[in-house]
Amino acid sequence: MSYRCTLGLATLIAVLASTAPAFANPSAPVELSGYVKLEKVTTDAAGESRVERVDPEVVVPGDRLIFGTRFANRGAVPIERFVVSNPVPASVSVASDIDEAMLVSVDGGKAWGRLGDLSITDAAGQQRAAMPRDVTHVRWVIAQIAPGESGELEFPVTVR
Amino acid sequence: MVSRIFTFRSSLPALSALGVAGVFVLWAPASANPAPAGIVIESTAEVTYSDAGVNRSATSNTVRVRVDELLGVAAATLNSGPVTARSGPAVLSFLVSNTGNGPEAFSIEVVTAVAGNAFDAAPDGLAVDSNGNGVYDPGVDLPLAPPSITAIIPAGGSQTLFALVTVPTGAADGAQTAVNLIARSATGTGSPGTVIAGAGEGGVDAVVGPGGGMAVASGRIVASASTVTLVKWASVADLFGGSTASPGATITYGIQALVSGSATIDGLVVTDAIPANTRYLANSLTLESAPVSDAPGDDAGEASAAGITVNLGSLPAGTSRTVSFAVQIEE
Repeated sequence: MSYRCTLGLATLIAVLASTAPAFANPSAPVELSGYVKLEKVTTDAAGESRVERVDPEVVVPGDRLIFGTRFANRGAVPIERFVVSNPVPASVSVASDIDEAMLVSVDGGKAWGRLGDLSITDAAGQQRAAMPRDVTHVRWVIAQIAPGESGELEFPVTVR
Repeated sequence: MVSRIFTFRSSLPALSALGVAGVFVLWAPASANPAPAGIVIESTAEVTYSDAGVNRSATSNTVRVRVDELLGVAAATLNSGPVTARSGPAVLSFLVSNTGNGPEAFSIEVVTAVAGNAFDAAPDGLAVDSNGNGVYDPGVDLPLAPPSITAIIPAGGSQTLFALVTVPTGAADGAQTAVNLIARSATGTGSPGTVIAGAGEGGVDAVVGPGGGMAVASGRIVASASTVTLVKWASVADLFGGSTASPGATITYGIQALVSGSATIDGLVVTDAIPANTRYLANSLTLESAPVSDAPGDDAGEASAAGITVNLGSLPAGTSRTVSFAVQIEE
């Protein structure tokens, strides 16, 4: 049991709350919901480009998809050290505009870091900087989610 | 309780922030190994957290996306440059590649009437490189008879095809002609993005790719032709040391056959009649100044009272041969 105690009071409340009768379901305070959207660029008659998100119906190689996880703390106590890991599906590769501050893995989830700090040993045995297409997993770490707070975690991919 | 919504989006929010839009294009360039048509992309998030000191884990629902079929084809000429051909049959080689993500057959059209052609070759059909050696082997490489649809080519695969044509007689030496091969996806063609519902591999939708589901490659033929020019001259020697064409005078004829152009002329035969009121002087026939016997069948030439015939065989372009013979003016 280790988590950063940035607010000692919050920790105390959390401990007290766990011994009190629970009104929220203590075994599943986190609500999770996965979704995927297709991002389309449309050019209108005036030549202006617009980016739209639609439900994927027809999807072909080269298309840009956004995978997301919606989360919410439906419990009565703060959720701490909320870590979400998402393997990157085989038929897609992480898009080149992925947030460079994101935690990623290029070795199947063993080591994690920012993409710019990671390297890959290629088939010829040479070390090179890891590229978005090398990413095997993405991860988010949220220190604390207050009761009632929610959010969305997304990453863009291109269908190979 | 008011929910405070916070959003962690790892994608950059504004299109304008990207500058040169290498990312936001309608289609990224097709990769060498595209996701196969029909494959289902699945994504699941795994979560761990601490709730009042208790470590917990959870899994989100799995989201699924099925990949549809993208229709794409590339066509390229395989000849390293224009093919030089004399009048008669010629072969152009092409490679048709399936650049989509599903197995696909392609219908093939050969067009010889291309704008700008100095002359048009006549189309004689298509053949498949059945033995895969890159060379047209008649009798081994099977014809692709109309409607000229290839066998199914897997995604990323390709097929070598031969366009058989005939170069017409009369094409000027060095004149060029283009022969185009058009490959069209058998599932459909049209404007990029057109969806053909259910027509893809395994019943997924088929989508016409950026190339419109078709491709054109252009091969070129350079005509090689030659012309034969015959030049004839005569010199007269009379009985008195002069050059008067009088009875008893000897006329020596020379005939030069000159081949100009770029093609070898085969089976070149020079014939000439003995003029009226003269008679052929026996054993005067020469080829390139060397005697040729009057008797038929023993060498390149023969001569008789009626005329001379010399078989020059194959003469390469730019060469010439000279025949000469003599007659005497009858008294």
